[in-house]
Formats: sequence, structure tokens, C-alpha cells
Amino acid sequence: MACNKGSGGQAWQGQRTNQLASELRSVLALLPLGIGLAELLEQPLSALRRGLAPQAQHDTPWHLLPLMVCESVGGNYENALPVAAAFQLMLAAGDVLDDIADNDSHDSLSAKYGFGAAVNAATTLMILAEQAITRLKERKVSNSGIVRLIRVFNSYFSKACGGQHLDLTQLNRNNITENRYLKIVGLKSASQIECACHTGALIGGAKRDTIHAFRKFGYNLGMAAQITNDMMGITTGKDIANRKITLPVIFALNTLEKRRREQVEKVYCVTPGQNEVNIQQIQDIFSETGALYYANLKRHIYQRKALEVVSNIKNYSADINWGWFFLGK
Amino acid sequence: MGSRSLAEMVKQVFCNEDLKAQFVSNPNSVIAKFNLSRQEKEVVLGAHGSLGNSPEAVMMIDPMIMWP
Repeated sequence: MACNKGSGGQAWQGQRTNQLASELRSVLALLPLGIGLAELLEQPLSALRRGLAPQAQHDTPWHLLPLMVCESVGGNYENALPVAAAFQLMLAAGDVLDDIADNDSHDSLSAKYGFGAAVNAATTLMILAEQAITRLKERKVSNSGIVRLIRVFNSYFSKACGGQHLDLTQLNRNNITENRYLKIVGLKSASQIECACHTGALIGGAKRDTIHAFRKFGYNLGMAAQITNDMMGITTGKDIANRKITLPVIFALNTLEKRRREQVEKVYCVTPGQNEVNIQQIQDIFSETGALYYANLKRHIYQRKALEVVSNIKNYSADINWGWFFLGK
Repeated sequence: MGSRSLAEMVKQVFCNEDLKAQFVSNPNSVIAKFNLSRQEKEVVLGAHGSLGNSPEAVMMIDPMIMWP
């Protein structure tokens, strides 16, 4: 399902995805030749939902978001390519680090080459992300403009690190509130989509109020997307097996009557590995008690907020009709 | 106003069969009992018809809009 942007649709997405791939390979070419590091880094960049993945040609074009926003505000989308590349490099670095932490994938860099090589790969990806943004100099972007972009970019990824820290240290299974969870999601996940929109608008030369509108759009879109992930994690059973605390789980723990809450607590409030997880039983509880329904409502609320921005954004002389696509409309 | 009321409404609708039946037949009458925001009311009415307790409701999620 390619983005139906403009009259080109699939061709439009294919062309820009190829340009992004070319930009990424130019950044990888900055590495020392003949040592295999660039080839190694292509692996996380080619994973599903990353810029070099074959599916990027037709999947939802998250990887092109900075380009789309830049173009929407009247900028030259090609100037957003280095920013989009930086974004992909940072996301790939995050993937590698997540794999190290989770240690549950046979295909990860850490599984194939060891933790040391994986840490080095993630570090290199992050350094290259900053290198990618400095390539804007070749596109005649001023030094002050580049510094501003790096500052904005880093501020969002600092936020994401803060969210990850809260997730790891404060998402206590016995002390979970919805507000705390949503704060973590906002910092850890939604901030990244907000970043893509913010930097795309900045590079496109948008005014402050337009940038603000795109930030709001990105934040709400990111929140909706993460809650979609939460729901899919329950319906596929994956997050239940991993005992991952997500919005439906929090609803269940905070609202269920004693008997059912205890069944959920048995899964989520014990040390992993302490007991077997009956995935079907937990799925049934989340369906029958409205936990999934509630998550779906929350998802729609964020979608609606994003849609309101899409409707209002026309007031800023920006074309964001493609925004409907990301919202599944 | 806010999500606490929304959570309370969902909790009560799903644990009380009479209220659930009322919600299905006349959602406005149930919504009026809770202090929902305008957006929450609109979303609840928009999602009306799929109470989310069936696989169909979940199948309505387009996995393509999942987080990248």
C-alpha cells in the first residue's frame, strides 16, 4: 500500500525512497573502506520499516516524512534527504541497541557478531546521523541552519532517551498509571515522529506557527501509532508473551475486578519466567473487559487531534492532504 | 473531564450487561452519565457499533499505520 500522494502514488514513493537509499549509501561511504563496517551497518538499515528495506518502496512511507513535510510547506524536498537519512540512522542505532537489551533475536547484529561489534555498530550509526545532517552544507544550507537542525534533532532524541530511561526504571509493574505510561510514550515514541515533522518543516523554511502545527500533527500521529502497536501486541500475543506493559494492560490492572485482575497480575506482576503465560486467556480478558476497546478509543482520540491539525494546517498555506494517509483515512 | 471518566465508562459498560445493552441501543443516554470531553464523546459515538470485544473490531486496525 504505497502512499497515494499526488498523481504518482507508487512511482512517487519509489523515486524518493531510492533517493533516500542513495543518500544513506553516500553517508555510509564516509566510513573507512574495505573493513566491512559499512556492509554491516546496511543490515539494520535494511530491516523491516527502515529506509533500505525493499518494503520501503510500498509500505507506509514513515521514512519519507521529513521530505513530505518539507514539500508541504513549499520547500525543496531534496534538502530534507540528509535529515531523513539521519533519522533512519538513529532509528537503526536504536534497533541495534534494543536487540542487545532484549537478546531474543537470532538475526540481530549482537547475535551474529557479538555484543561488542553491535555496540560499535550502534555508536557508528549515531555518529553518522550527525554527519548526515552536516551534508546539508553541500545543499547550500547555512551553517547556522545546520546547527539549528542538529540542535532540534538532538533535543528530540535526548527526549527519546529520557523516555527509555523512565521505561526501564519507573514502569514498575505494581505502580502503573495511565498518565505515566502516556508520558513515557510521548517522550520515547511520539517525539520521534514529531521530530521528523519539525525538522521537515524547518528545512522547508516554514514559519514558526506552521512548524508548531506540524509538530502537533507529528506528536499526535506518533501517539496514535504507538497505541496501534500496543493493540497489535495484544492481538498477536507477542507483547503478552514478553509481559510488556502497554495501555490495555494498564487499563486492565487499574479497572478489573479482583478475580480477573489477579489473573492479569499473575502474568505481568511476577518475575519473568516464574510461570507459564496463557496467552489466549489474557487476550480474552482484554477483549471481554473492554481493555482493547478502551485502547482503541484512546487511539482514535489522538488520531482525531492529528486530523484536526491536518484540517487547520491549510490555514498556513501548506498542503498536507497526505496526512490522511498516515491516519488510515 | 478527561480519560478517567472515559475509562470509568468503558469499565462499567463492559461489566454491566444492562448498561452494555443500553449503550448498544442508545449510546448517548449512557455517555450522558459520564463526564466526557467533546472529543471523547465524538470518538465513542464514532466507534459505536464495534464494542471492541470482538476480533472484527481489532481487525479494523490497519497494521500499516503501526509505529515505524
